[in-house]
Amino acid sequence: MSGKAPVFIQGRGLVCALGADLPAALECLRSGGVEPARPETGPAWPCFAIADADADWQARAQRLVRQAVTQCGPLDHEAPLFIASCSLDIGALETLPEGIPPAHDCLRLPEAIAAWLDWRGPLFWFSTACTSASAALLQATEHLRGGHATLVLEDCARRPNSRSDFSPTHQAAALRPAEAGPTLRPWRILGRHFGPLPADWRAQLAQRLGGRPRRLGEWAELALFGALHCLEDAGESSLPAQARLRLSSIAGPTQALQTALAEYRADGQPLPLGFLQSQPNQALAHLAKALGWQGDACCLTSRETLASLRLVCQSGATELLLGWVDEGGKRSDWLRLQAYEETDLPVLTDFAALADRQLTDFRLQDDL
Amino acid sequence: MTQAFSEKLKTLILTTCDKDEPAGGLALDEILFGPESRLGLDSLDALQISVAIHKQLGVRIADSKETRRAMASLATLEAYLQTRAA
Repeated sequence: MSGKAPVFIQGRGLVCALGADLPAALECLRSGGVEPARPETGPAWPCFAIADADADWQARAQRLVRQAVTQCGPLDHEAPLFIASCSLDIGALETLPEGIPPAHDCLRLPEAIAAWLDWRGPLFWFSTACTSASAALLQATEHLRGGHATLVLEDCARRPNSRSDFSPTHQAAALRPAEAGPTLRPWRILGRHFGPLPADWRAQLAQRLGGRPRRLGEWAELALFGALHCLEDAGESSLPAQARLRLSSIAGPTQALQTALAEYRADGQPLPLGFLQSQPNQALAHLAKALGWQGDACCLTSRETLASLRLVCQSGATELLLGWVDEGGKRSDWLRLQAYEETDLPVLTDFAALADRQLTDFRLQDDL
Repeated sequence: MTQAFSEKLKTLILTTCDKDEPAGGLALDEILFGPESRLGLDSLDALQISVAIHKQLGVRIADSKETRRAMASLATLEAYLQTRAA
């Protein structure tokens, strides 16, 4: 046992190929399960499809998501909402003409889901391939130890005609903490990297790493550039072992994803290293190597930067390295934070204030 | 095989593996993989090259043993592709 406060499941919901709720799914399993289907498009891999032939995928997804969430019972719609999916809206990206960048970021889908649920609380989106649901659950659990109610929803809205995304499952879990106990810590800013990047940022990164980085997409390169500068600003050569690393973005590795999709469209086979670059978690491995560190790292997506800062700062960690990285606008903002005991500190209400070097300490309001 | 094909193959390897050409150029008989080689390619690079060859030249390299033999150097890769094209 870790000694951490327990978190309980308050309610749960499931809509999947096995049935429209958990009892139906279990009964279906007892009687032998269901046969996989073969999608008409994409590779002829078997997939387990929900028995719902609605051609309007949004209407279908909306209905099924609501169905899963309703099974959780009454919910506080002001609470944070954690959504996990193993793809960054890939169904929508697939349908774009080749070479046309998406006119929206990867929060369009989770924001649509929040609207379907009439959800008003902060929204966090986790898309870390097969670990997406685990990442969302872990972050939600840590957040709950700060005393907040939370809903976790996963694998929630795939297009039925997607060529690269199969077996939709809609799951929801309402969680509650064992006891309310907000953990609001004051924080000291040990280092930071904010603001526009220099024109030769790539050359500077190569110099810092001792050579041109290989097998990295631009998103990961941006993350490395900002993180290394931030650590240098903190006067550290490596990240402390107990530190947690959180990387936030509203679009993720878009260029790599589009390249991989274009290759997939052409002949059904993206180049392996390019495909890996389209996975946000790959950047974490490169960051860990460059920072001389192994530990608790996670990618998350939220439009609300202050809310994502609160989420991480309320997790019980005492050492943090946090990044907000996006290819659009070449953004790579980073903070190296350390918890400490001083309580008479200004309350941070504006994320942009963190860029001001005059600000050396802060605390956060408890509510998200 | 022609010099143009050698150049094409070299470009394919360097581009798909995101490598700069070693100083003085990459010789035809120079080993490509392992810590002793100047390029220092590894098994992930082998997979990357293998997929790129399939996409660009339509040749699928059967297994890892065949890949190791074929990709020992530019010359062996050329010879292998020549055999497969025959």
